[in-house]
This record gives sequence, C-alpha cells and structure tokens, in this order.
Amino acid sequence: MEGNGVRRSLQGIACIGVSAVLCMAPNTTAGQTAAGQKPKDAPYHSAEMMKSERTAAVAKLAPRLSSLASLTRIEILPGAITITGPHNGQRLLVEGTFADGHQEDLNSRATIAISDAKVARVDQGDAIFPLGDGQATIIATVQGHRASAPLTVKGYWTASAWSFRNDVLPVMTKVGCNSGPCHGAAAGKNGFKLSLRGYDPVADYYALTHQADARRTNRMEPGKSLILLKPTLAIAHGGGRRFDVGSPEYKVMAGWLAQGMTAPRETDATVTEIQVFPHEASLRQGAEQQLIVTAVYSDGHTADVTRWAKFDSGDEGVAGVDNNGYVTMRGYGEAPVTVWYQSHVTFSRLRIPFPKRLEETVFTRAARHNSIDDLILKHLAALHIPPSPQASDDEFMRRAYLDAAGILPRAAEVEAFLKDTSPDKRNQLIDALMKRPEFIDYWAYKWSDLLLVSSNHLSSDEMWSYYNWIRQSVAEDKPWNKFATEIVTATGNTLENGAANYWLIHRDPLDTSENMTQAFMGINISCAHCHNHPLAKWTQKDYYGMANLFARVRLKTFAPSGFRTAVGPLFNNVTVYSAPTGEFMDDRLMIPLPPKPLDAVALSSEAPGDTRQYFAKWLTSPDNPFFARNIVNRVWRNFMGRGLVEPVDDLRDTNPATNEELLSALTKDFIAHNYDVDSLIRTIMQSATYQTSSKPLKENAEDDKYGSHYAIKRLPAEVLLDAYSQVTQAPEKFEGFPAGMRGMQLPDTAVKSYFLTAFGRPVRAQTRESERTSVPTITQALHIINGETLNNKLRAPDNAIDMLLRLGFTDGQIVDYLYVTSFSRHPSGPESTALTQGLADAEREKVAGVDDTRRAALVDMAWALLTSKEFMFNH
Amino acid sequence: MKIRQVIHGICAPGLTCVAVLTIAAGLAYGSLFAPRVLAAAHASPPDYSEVAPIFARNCGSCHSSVQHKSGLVIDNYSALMKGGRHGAVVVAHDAKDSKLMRMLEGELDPQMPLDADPLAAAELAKIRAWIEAGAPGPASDTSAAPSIEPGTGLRTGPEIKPEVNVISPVTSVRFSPDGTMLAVGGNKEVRLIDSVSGKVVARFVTDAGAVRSLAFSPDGQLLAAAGGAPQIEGEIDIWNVASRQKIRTIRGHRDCIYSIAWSPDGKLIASGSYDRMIKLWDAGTGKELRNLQDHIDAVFAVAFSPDGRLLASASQDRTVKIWDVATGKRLYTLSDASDGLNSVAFSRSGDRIAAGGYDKTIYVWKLGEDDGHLSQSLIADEDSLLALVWSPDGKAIITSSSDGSIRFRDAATLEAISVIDRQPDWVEALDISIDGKWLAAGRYDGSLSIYDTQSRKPIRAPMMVFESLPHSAGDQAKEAGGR
Repeated sequence: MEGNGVRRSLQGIACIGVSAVLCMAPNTTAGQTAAGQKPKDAPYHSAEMMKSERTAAVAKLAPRLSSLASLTRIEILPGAITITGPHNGQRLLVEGTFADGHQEDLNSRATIAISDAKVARVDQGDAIFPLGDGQATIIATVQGHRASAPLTVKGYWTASAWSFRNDVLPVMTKVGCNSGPCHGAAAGKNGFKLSLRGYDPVADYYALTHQADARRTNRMEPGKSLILLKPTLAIAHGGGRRFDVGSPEYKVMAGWLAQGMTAPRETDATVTEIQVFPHEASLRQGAEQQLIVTAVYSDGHTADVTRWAKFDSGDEGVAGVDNNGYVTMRGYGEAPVTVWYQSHVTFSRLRIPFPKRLEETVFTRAARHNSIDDLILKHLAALHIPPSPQASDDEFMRRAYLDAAGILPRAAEVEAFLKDTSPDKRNQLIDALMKRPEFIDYWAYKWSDLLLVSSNHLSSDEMWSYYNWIRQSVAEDKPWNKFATEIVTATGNTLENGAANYWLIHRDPLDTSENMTQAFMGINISCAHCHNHPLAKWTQKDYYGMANLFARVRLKTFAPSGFRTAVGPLFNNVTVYSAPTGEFMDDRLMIPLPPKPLDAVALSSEAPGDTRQYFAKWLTSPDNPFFARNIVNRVWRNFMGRGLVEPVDDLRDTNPATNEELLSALTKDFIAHNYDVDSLIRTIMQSATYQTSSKPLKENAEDDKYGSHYAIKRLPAEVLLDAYSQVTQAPEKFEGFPAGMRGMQLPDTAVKSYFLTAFGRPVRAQTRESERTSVPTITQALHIINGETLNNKLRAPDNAIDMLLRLGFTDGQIVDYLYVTSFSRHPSGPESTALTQGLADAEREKVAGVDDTRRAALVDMAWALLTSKEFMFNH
Repeated sequence: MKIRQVIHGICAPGLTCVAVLTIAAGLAYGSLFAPRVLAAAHASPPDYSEVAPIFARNCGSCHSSVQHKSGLVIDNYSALMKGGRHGAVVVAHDAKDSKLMRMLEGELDPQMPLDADPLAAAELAKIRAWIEAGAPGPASDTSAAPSIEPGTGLRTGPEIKPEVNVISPVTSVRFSPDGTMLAVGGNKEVRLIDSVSGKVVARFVTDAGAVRSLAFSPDGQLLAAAGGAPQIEGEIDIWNVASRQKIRTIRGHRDCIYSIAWSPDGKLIASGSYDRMIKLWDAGTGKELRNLQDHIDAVFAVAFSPDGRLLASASQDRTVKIWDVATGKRLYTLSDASDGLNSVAFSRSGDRIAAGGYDKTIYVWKLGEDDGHLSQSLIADEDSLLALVWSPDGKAIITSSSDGSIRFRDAATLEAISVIDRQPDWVEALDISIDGKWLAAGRYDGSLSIYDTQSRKPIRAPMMVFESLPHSAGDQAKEAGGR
C-alpha cells in the first residue's frame, strides 16, 4: 500500500535484454504500512490485503457496475473446492454473466453461505476457511440468482508442517528476496546470495540455515533469526521492509523456523499445474476483476496461492493488474494476464469487446477461403472487430509479388491478371509466383539472414557454398525438418557440403547451442548461461547439458600453419567432423554435464558417436512444441507484418500468441504436411485474411494484431532497391558481382551498399529478427531526396524514361505505364489529368542548363511516384 | 509491462531508475494514500536519544562508521553534524533547509533511504522537530561512541519458541595447548570436554549468542570465546580455565565475531567480524589497541604467524590480507581467490599460508617481505570449503567441505591422501591438536567427532555435546501455523 514498495533497488541488474524486466524486484510490497494499519492475526491465505486494496480502488475509480436486471446467471469460481490441511483458505469468485454476454466480478454484491458450519466458515464475504473435515455446499446468491459449488475439507486435524519448498520459498519470491537486484543477483547482496527466484531450493536452504556459520537463522531462538528481523526492519535492511510482524508472510517464516527448519526433500509435493480463475472473460471498460490462482500439486492436493503468485499484464492499455491479481479493465481489446507461481505460468485472457455490437452477418458473410479465416473471424467476432473487405485484384497482386518474391509485377503481367476472369485467378497467381526463380531468391535470402550467411564469418568460397546449399534447399522445397537436420548434423568438406559451414560460424558449444535454439526454436536461452531462465523453464543445467551435445564437433583445416582464429574466416578447405568422444567443460559449473537437449533425457557422457544426431532427432520431433511453431510464426510474420507471437524469436510459455488457436492449428497443419514450407506459404496467401484490404474500417482501425485488415509495411531494403531498379530499368551494380544482379540475389550482406545499409539490411552477426529494421530515419529521407541511388537511376541513359520517349509515348501513356509498373494499377481519372497537365506545364518551362525539359519533367514525375508512400510500402 | 519496458530501456543501474520508479509509484498509488502527518505535537522537542535509533535503523546500513557512502556518517552525533562530502546535512533550527530532511522527504533526489521505503510520517515529524529545536546533541558527550550501546540496544522481534526438540549446532572447537581438553562452542555456551573420555568437565555460559570461535591463551590457562548477535555487536568472553571464572567480557564490533586468535606471546587477541573490521585487543586489560580497516566485506578468519609478527585475515571480499602486528600496517593483499574465503592457516614454519572458501579451491601462498605469491592452488572439492587446518608438522592440510567430506591433503601438492566422507551435516568447526594426533570436527546438527589422524577413524562414536532444548508440546504447531 502507500506505493512505497515501488521504490526498489535496481542496482546490480546483471541481465541484458528482456530478461532484466523479470529480474527486477516485484513492484509492490506485501503487507505493511506506515499508515497505522493494525497487524491482524491474519490467516495464511488472507483476503484482507486484497480487500483493502480493493476498497481503496473502488472508492477512487468507481467502476461501472451493471444493473443486475440484465444478469442472466452467476457462477462460483473455482467450480469445486477442496481445502487440504488446517492452514489453507480459499477465496471465491462470484462471476456473473449478463444478457449482452459480458461478465462481471460480483463478489461485492453477492452473499456467500456454507451449508455446514462445522466444515468451514466464510470470512470477509468471500474467503472460505476450514473448521473440520467434511463435505458441504457453498451457495452464492445475487438478487435471486443462485449458484453452488461443492466443498471438501480434508486433513484438517493432520499435523501439518511448513514446507521450505512450497511455503517458505514462495513467500521469499513474492516479497522479492531472491529477485535480480536483491539477493537473487549473481553475486548476491551483502554476502547473502539466493538462487534467482528460488530455482535451487536446496542451495537456498543451505544459504539460509547453514552458511556463514548459521548466521541468518537461529534454531534455538527462532525470533532472533535475521530472516525475520531484517525484512521487518527490526534491524536495518538495505532492501527495506518486506513484511510486517504478524503478517501471513511472517507467520510462514516464523512457523517454519519454529518447526526446526525442515529441509526441502526429494519427496516434497511439487506444483504440477496452476489454474487461474476466470480463465477467460469479456468485461466492460472500467470493470474490476479479482483473479484467483489455484496450484495443483503432485500429491493431488490443491491450494489457493493467489497471494503468492505474480501477475503481469500483456497489454497495460487493455488491462492493468496489481500485485494481488486485482485487474482493472481499461481499453478495448484483449490482454493476456500472465500468472506465475513456482516456475509455472498460465494466463487469464481478459478482453473488452469493442463497443459497437455488430450484426452476426458481418462475420458470417465475410470472405472465408480456408480455416485461417474461420479462426481469425471467430476471434474478431468475440472482440466485436469487423474485418475489412477484400483487397482489389491490383492491390492483391502487388502485395503477393512483394511478399512472396520481393519483386513487382511487370506491366504485361498486371494487364493480363486484371483482365483474367477465372474465379480462382488469385490462387493461380500464387501458384505461378511460387514457381518463379525470384521466389527462390527471396526465401533463400530470408533463410540466409536466419543462418548468418556472410563473408564476415566465411571465405568467399565457403559463403557461396553455404548460400547455394540454402538456395538449392528452397528450390527443391526441402521439408523444414530435413533442412534443419542437415545443418545440425552436417559433416564433411565445407565447400562440398554447404550446410557444414554452419559449424564454421558457430565454433563454441555455448554459442552453437544458443544459436540453434534461437534459429530453429525461436527461443532465447542465453539467460540460463548465468542462472535459470527467469521466464521459461530452462535451467542452467539444461543449458550446459545442451551445450555439451556440440562438444565433439571438430574442424580439420589444411592451412599451412594450422592457423585458426576464434572469429573471422578460416582458410578454405575445412572439414567438419565429429570426434567419437569429448566433453565440454563450462566456465561456471566447472563440471561437464551429460549431453542433453533442453528437456529431453540425457545421453550418457560415455555414449560414443556424434551426439548431434540425438539433438537433431529431438529438435525436429513433432513433440518439440517450438520447432514447427517457430517457422510457422516466422512465415506468418513475413506476410502479415506481425508474428502471431512477437517478437518472433522469443517463443516461450510466458509470451502468448495473439491468436493461440490459429497458431496451434497452423503448426499442426504444417507438421501434418510434412514440414512443407511452400504449402504453408500457399495456405497463408490463399486465406481471405491475407487478402483483406489494408484500408482500415472505422471500427477496426485500432486493431494492429488480430488480422482484421492487412498491415502495411515498408518494403525491405533489398526489395525496395530492386523495385527501383526494376521500374527505372537501371540495374544496380554491386561490387564483385555482375551488373544486373538484384539485391535479393546477393549471397552476402557484407556487400557494400549505402542504400541497403541505410534502409536496415541486417549485418548477419547474430540470429535476431531485430537485426533487420524498418525504422524510418533522416538518412533514408535524405538519401531518397538527394542521394545517388535513385537519382542516378533516373538519370541513367537508356533507362525506362528514355525507352518510353524512344517509343514515342505521349505523356498520358507514360503516366499510365509508370503507374502500372510502380503501383500495379492504372491511374485514376483525376490522377491522370493532374499529372498530364503538370507535365505539360513543366515541359514548357525554360530552365537554365536543361536542354531536354520534357525528359527533366518526366524524371521529376517518376521521382515523385517512386518516393510516394504507395510505392515504398506494401499495402 | 509497458512501464517496465520503459524503465528497462533507460535503465543503466542507478538513480535514473529509482527516479522513474518513483514517478510510476506516484502515478499509481500516490494520490490514493496521502501520507498521514502525525498530528500529536511533542510537549517538549525530542532530544538526540529519540532520533538516534531512527537513524541507526534506517540509515545505518550505508552511513555508519563502518561504511560511509558519500562520506556521511550518521550513527554518531558529531559526525552527523559535520556532514558528508557534499557538505552539511543538518542546519540547526531549519528543517526546511536541512539536506537530511529534504532527502528523507523526497524533495531532493535521491530520496532516502535509498531503495527502501521512506520513513514513517511519525519518524519524519520527530526528526523535523529535533532539527527545529536546534538539533541538540546527546546529554553526555558520547559522540565518539555508537548511538546504540553494545549490549543494551538489542533490537529484536517477538520471541518464538521452538516447537520441536532443538539442539545447538557445534559452532566452534579448539584443543587446549596440551591437547588434553577440547573446548566446544554452541549457542550461548562453551563446554570443555576431556579429549580422551569425552566427558564434559566444565560449562561456561555466555550472552554472546552462537560461539563462533574459541582460543586458548598459549599457556592454556585462559579460554576466550567469541560471538555476538548478527548485525548488532560482537562479544568476547574470557574465562580462567582452572577456576571456571569469567574474568572479562569484551564488547566491540558492529556485528558478530567470526574468528579470534591469541597471539603466540599471549599478549594480544585478534578478532575478525562480519562488520569488515579486525581488532587487536590487549588480552590482559580487554582494551582495544587497534582497528584494522581495509577489507571491504566480512572477515571470516584471522590467524597469527608462528612468530607472532604477522596477522593474516581472510574475507568474503576474496582476499587474504597480511598485517604487521606491531604497527597495524597492512603489508599486502593476496587476491587470487574468485569467491569469498572463510578460513586461513599458517604453515608451521610461517613462510606459507593456506586459505579456502566458496570457490571450492585451496590456495597456498609463499610469503615474502613485501608481497606473497601463489605457490599452489587446487579445485579441491565439489562444493564450498568450510574449514581448513594445517597440521602442526606442516605436512598435511585438512579441509572440510559442504560436499560432506573431510579430506587430508599433502601440503606440498594439495592432493587428497584420504577422505572421511559422508559427514551427516556440515562441519564448520574443525581443529587439530598441537601434537597432531587428533582432529575434532563439530557439525551443524550438534554432533562432534574426534578422529585419530593416523587411522582417520573416530576414536569414539559421535557425541551430542549439548542437550536438546525441551519444547512446549501440545497443539502449538497449529498456533504458529497461522490459525
């Protein structure tokens, strides 16, 4: 309360990237306050704290409460309750559904009773506390509506001890003891180090009980233990007050101390699953909703762990959530609220449908080409977002060419397509497009980005060998699992087997292991280098175990001096092979761990042979939830401008997809089609979703992620440059490559090009989608206006303008031709008139030093077209 | 999430973040909870004794004579009035202009206490009133003394009774110089047992909490036991072994003492504390002779060289420092370790020194006049080393480790000669008799074993030195269980 807890030490953040966000301390303190709150003899899972927060919040925000007249039914959540042991309580939710389909947290207006007063009592309106073993029924009533839920209390009379693993650690995690800036830092804090967010209960137990001569706990006089005195500020504590004497947190810690500090045991029940209530809800703006979290343990018992869980909103603009799981709904849309408890993650999907109720026909009549559309429309209907109408043929054509092959359609192709009357002409176009060599160039380039093909790491011959292998794989539509396997297990001479060059770029087992998971699984495991991954289930041992799979890879080089550097090109003629044995000794754990793909069974360290085979099998298995999902998400992003999961290289349980049902279905379909990337591309391009207009409707303008309309995107650097070359017919000349070679055909991003660099070409130093940027910069603007690239093309002799002049086209014809080649459409009447008139005026003007004023005027017009948004964006 | 990303985006560790977070806090909660100002006026303005505990509690961890960020020391009156590197912090009669007040109230960034909750309104009011009253000093001139007198200002929480039988860990062991007796330290108590029979021959009671270190005077007539309350004070008690009388209690340090050593000439006692200090005491009078201040983290072990000329100290700061006992000057620092060190021992000849700790490695340095150099190091165990002793004949180094082993090592190569493994709990108390015959190992679980160093076999079954503390039974478990 007081908001004081938000001030936290942020010093000592050792993490980089997104992980640091989670390494931070929780942003609210538990319990406490200086405002004179009486510490109450609160039970373990107290409702009081949430209550008081709620009261304050209600007073301030005065949420919109719906009239109960339109209430259609109420429900108790969780639907069935079992309370085990004397310590546990359970909070309830009474959730109402109203006539218009929205839900509301009705706790404040509900009456809750229990059929048998010997079994349990209701405290503070909505918290149930056990009184004795037995069964009863919980009954909730709200103005004539009634709901019931069965209640079972067991083990009430069984002596129950506080568990280090399941009681003490969750308290320490929630109040932030083991957070990144505090004692969870790699170096600890003031001599006291805990594992980050409690990933290592055994080490933490020893740190608390044994270390520094049992400094922190006192089993003879538990009240003198530093772990009570410091967080309550009886003694100065750099981390400030974490909880109060008498708080539920204090009781857990004190109880555990008094009971002799039981150590974590192998046999402890562990959390197997967490559930959040409500799991999903449509709420109204301003609504407030308490979330309830239940942990399910390996011994079958369940407990309300709401107080110890952590909450995080996926979209603060839609839903805000506080430290107690109390949600305030803000703006339209959908927000997954992430719930964490003991390394388990789940989501509550909360949404505020857009206010306008739409006719059902908006969705039933919307274009549907395949199952993508069914799942997109289903989601849009729930959110009250109408889809935009379908794009016109010319829009679709330009879009498809650019997205799938990185080129613009030629004038003749445009004319033919627009005239074509066959009903499936769009599908025909897609098929034809996918047979073109430019399609192969485009996707070879894309995978070369992913696999870091570059002469910065490889000699020219090696780079070509690597690139050609990738291009050949695309050409033959090699199934993605086969593609990955060939890289992962590559052996042999790098000039003969292009895939083997991967192993020249990744020579260190740790780097290899990080890159493999990034490129082929879209996950970032580098956090686990120093500590267990805070956002995913990967542990430090998983990390080093996996690295050991790559410890046997050897490079044989025939260089005169056996010269070998850590980075940079080797000499040509390198052979990659796997030694029969060998282990990787890491720099931190100092013991080689048995080779093991992240969550698979470990191989024996003595197992002979190429351990990469084992990895490849695990990687490409249909049971690997990340492998297919990663590539599906990356391909989706290519076409839709946004991954279903963003960022695309950060797949994890804690980063939900905007449309999980769709991503799962596409992934399944991709696996069923034998990892066929072309088939996936075709499915996406054929969908009505891909073919919607980019023009938003008033009602869907705010949507940028649910697929209601095509998301416009700036042409990638290489595509833009190629488009300039294509329209002006003034080909680019790259140093060391033949004239006329397109940017998209380059095997290498180290090729010098001011234009490509300015427009965000990646350097291919790291496998990271964000290496390529489409951020607008002043450099880009200046280069387009005054720079040489475009202006030289327009000035070049024998370019498109000269050709049109030689053909004797009129100004009107030239305008039309340039429109078709640039925008794949004819100019509108007014556009044509205005431009023709403007050209006529300009051509009459006498400009000093300009002999051919007509050509000059045409160049200016072409420049205007080529620098327009309509040209530079795919839409 | 967005706010967090913003923070993360601009967040090089440090003050910027705190500032941003404060803003976030203000937005989120500020308006909801206006601080309640204490209305009740003081009948008379508070004197220093009322504000000093507030300073000690809230500011002590960064602005004490032990650690003084920005050169500011708040835990004694004269230093507080002098201010820090950035000038005075208290302007008498003018709370509004006092930097101390402004930073505590958040008017001046960064708000203090840094990274912790602001002071309660009542505390702020008290400090304000004290400054307005002219910031009067303490009644008697104790400006050099800490504001909380050691031993009198124990800040503690509610008493909690163990609900199960508990037995004190063995926190220290030390053989008497003639080897006939072994002193064993535990919670608030030292027992002297007969080395051969294991019989308890004497019990010494102390207020020093866990007795973390023991030392006999070289003639064996006196026994010193050191401990204290973590983060409050250190304490050394000295008994006459023959008469069983406590002859002196020395209090000092701002945290408990982890290690003491008696100088070979019997005149000095050295103590190392978690407060980062090493102190040299006159063993005869109990007077503090020197405060050796150079470690930047807890001092876990101290040892005198056989000739008494040098003192070695091992610290959590990963170093061993060598001090000249006569002048109190630090001669040099041995900084090869990669993690904290918790034990240190001189070789018999005094020309080498061994240390070990959390990086699982044993280090042996050869000592010179102006510097020492690493002569051996070995990653010794699978887990942190807990204790290390050098055999009196100089040939063996014996270590205990949290991997549950005691290892005898060749001092020349550090290779293990033999292992006594499967210790039932951590051995943090380890000592070897001066004739080198016996090794005593005390454990966290309260058990003690004495081993024959030749056969590596225990001479008796493990014994529990202390009795288990009876607990009040009944359904108290349920009580503390939170109901």
